[in-house]
Amino acid sequence: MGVDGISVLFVLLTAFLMPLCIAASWRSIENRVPEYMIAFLVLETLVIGVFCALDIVLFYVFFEFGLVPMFLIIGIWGGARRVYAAFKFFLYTLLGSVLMLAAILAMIGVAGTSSIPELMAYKFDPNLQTWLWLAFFASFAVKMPMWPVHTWLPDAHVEAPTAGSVILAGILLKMGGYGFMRFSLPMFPNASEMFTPLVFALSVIAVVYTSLVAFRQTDIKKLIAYSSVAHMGFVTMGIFSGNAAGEQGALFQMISHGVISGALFLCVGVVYDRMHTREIAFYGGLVNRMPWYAAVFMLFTMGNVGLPGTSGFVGEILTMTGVYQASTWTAIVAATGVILSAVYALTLYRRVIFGELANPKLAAIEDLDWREWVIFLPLIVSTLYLGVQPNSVFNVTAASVDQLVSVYRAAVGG
Amino acid sequence: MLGLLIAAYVYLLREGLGARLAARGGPLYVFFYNKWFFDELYQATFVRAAKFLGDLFWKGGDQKIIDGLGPDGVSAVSYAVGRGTGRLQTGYVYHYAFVMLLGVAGLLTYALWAWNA
Amino acid sequence: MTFSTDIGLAFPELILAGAALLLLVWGAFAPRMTAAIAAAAVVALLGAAFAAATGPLGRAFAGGLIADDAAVFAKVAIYAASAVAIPLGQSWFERRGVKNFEFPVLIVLAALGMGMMASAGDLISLYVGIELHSLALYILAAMHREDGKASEAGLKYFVLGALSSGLLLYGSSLIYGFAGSTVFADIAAVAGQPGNTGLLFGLVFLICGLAFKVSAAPFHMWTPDVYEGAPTPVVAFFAAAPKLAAMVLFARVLAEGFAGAIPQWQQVLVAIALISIFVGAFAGLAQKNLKRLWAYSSIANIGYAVLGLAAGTNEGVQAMLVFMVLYMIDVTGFFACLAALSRQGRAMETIEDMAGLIKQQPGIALAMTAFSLSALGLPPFSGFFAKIYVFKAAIDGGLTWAAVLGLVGSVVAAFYYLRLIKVMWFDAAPGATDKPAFEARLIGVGLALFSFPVVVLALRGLDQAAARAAAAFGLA
Repeated sequence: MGVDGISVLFVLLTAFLMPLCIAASWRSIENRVPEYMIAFLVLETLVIGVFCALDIVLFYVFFEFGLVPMFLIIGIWGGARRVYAAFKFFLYTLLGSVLMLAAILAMIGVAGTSSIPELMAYKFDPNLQTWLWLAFFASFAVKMPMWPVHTWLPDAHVEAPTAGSVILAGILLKMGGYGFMRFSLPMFPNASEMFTPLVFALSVIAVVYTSLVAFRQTDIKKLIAYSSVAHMGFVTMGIFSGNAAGEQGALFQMISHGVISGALFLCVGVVYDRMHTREIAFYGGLVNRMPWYAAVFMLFTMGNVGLPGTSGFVGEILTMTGVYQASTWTAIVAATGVILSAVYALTLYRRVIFGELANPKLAAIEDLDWREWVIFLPLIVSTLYLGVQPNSVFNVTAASVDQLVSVYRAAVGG
Repeated sequence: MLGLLIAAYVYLLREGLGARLAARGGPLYVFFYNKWFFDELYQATFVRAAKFLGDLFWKGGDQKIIDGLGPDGVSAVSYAVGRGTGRLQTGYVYHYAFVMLLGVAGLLTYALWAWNA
Repeated sequence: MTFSTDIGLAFPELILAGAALLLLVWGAFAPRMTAAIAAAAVVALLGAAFAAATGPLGRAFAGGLIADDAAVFAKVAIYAASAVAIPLGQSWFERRGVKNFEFPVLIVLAALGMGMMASAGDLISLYVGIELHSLALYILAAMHREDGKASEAGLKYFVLGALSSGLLLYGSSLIYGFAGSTVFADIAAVAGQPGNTGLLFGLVFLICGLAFKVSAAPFHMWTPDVYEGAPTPVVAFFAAAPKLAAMVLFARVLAEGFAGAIPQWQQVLVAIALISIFVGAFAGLAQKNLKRLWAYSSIANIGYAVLGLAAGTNEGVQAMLVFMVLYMIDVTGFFACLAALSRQGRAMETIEDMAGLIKQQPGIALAMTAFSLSALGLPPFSGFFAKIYVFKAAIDGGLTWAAVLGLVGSVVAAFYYLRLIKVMWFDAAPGATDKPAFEARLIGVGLALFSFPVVVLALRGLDQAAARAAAAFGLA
């Protein structure tokens, strides 16, 4: 077990989001509370284990067993189609991971060690790298998720309880990105370089395609879920750009997305707890009754769009810079994704918050209470702080990222 | 600059011309009044296109193609295969014995083929 | 080699044979003393395990009986599993008003046969061992005489078992005819030479017969029916020890008798393994009865064990041994849990019966969840480590594609284990369950604790023991 500049951020993010999730479940979870708390704590342990593991088998153990508490969280405390969503989530991810397991076993067989630092130093045969890369890709692409293996995510998000969605979007998705940075890039640099166009293509498709899909959603959570897929498209692009700006941007984007999308799901949770529906059409005009809520939601919507001053902006601009250096066309197409993200996010905001308070059921809806403020305040502070002081993150990651990029560059000879 | 001059001409030098133009309601006026029909143009092209594509990708792409061929399709096929295999399980001993002998014959054939290959 | 050293090498078997005869006589004169007879049988089995572990190593009876590290490893596991089956079954039968002293005696006889299988050094002792344990198993399957399904299961097992014995004998006679000897070591000398298609034909028949015993596809057809019909604690026994005995015998025949023909039998074994994995995975999807479900699960799991063996290496045999021991623990534990459960006096055997079990019987439900996840191969349960061993051996042995296919098969199978967990955890219970039987619950929960976390501590010891055992086969 150990941490470096890349993993420490994820550990902090996990430790940051988990208490908020538990606080967010205070009112919405009423049955089987002890089991719920156990599931969350087990999940936290496993997630931190994933980010800290220095042995590849141990990594796999944590990575894989994390499915079980999440399966239970979705399946027991989830919405109407929870069973379908839980199975889809589990089996999709499992299929990806068993391929990775085969690759891990092959790597151990070839290199004779299961220690991650030693495997990083080992030079795999380029031909073998291709296969290993594909197997790891199968696992991380599902986890990320990348187009076209993203369809489990909207279902899982929609059916999971609020806190489950937060963890899923905020932390579990990051395991995919973390995996790419920890394994694919440093261990299989030649294969990574070879497959970069594929990754770019899939990422661009993800950005544009899922943004358009998000635009058409009628369920708030599903919309945010699709927007997560789009944002993760930026992350994969950044990671495979293979330069420092891209890596830093991808890392920053993951952290920022962890905070912002988590906050957005919590925002949905606030109204869901009150009204027990997530239909966009049900709401409208909430600003009249819930001005503070409208302000908070506004901030995170802006963060999601990538408004300067919020953390979302820093991640996006850096990623785009990195991608621009690697492939101009990718960056240009991806830029339209930024516009589309503004389109769907602002549309959602307008339809939920602004307008007349048409629905009579909303007449008595109440603004944020002190508990919700306690949850949102740290998120607001971190979104803004990261937005104006991104160096606080970059100082931590710089050494590890430089190392990663120089190793990668050396291996691919560029 | 040009706009400034025109505006000055219409509103300052010939006071009342602006109001008269508006009252006449000529096509040029309508065009300008609606901000060059930009919103409508947007509505007709980008928004409609985005909605269309969004629906296409969501209903057609995600739900039909990806889910249909992917998880839902695979699970349906798997279940059907499972049902089919289960149906072989008739409960009759002579069926079971027959399958066993088929297995022996199959393995022998396969073995001969594989050894020669 | 004198007669007395031969006797010394066969001492564990002699203990069991003597114990079986004595208990039979005792039971005939005092049929009411079932508890005492059962206890004596357990003592005899544990004694035999101890004798096997501490006894001398060597070959006896002109190579017919082998006592080496592999035999010791297998016997300790087999006798221990048999000893666990006795209290489990005894209490189960007594709760159903069946008081019969034959049950422990039959288990001892089966254990004797399995011990012989593990030690078989030629085709004759192979056949005698298999028949001895099979006959005991046929009766055990039909032990619950009032139950029509149990009788049907016993009869089916017997008829199909006879067919498989025929295959075994036919294969043996072919091998004997072409090799001129029944001793594995002598066969090996002939099998190494090229152009021995007749001998290899015999080997394929032999493999088919053994595949029936381990219920590998396509010789698996009896398994679901027999598991469903036979009494649950008997199934707990069926699914564990005999499989290990047959797998060790499998390894013995292939490694000692046909070490020179590895590429030939490797292909046959890979085919059997993959067919088993996929039949087990897909056919299980549509099952409603838990015993049938676990029958298919066992078919799939045997596929993994055979895949390990198919690697044709020392590592592969070791992987197979580790896998089988860990699998035995899972499957015994699962059926022990199942034997413990009933609702208003009716046994709970379908998946729907398990609804809401986590609230009714949290201990047993947790144990069953652990076994299911373990059989699914999910870390950190024992089944994961078992699969790691097998797949690593397969990949190192050059069977990468087979390993990948096997892993994909395990994802298909994951669905039915998850469905069981889903029913236990998500659904509401239809009614209260009865108080579970003490022994069965103890065994189930205890074995679940082994599945995780004890396995983490025990794995190193198991690894070394299996490595020593595998080395006895002398593969590369």
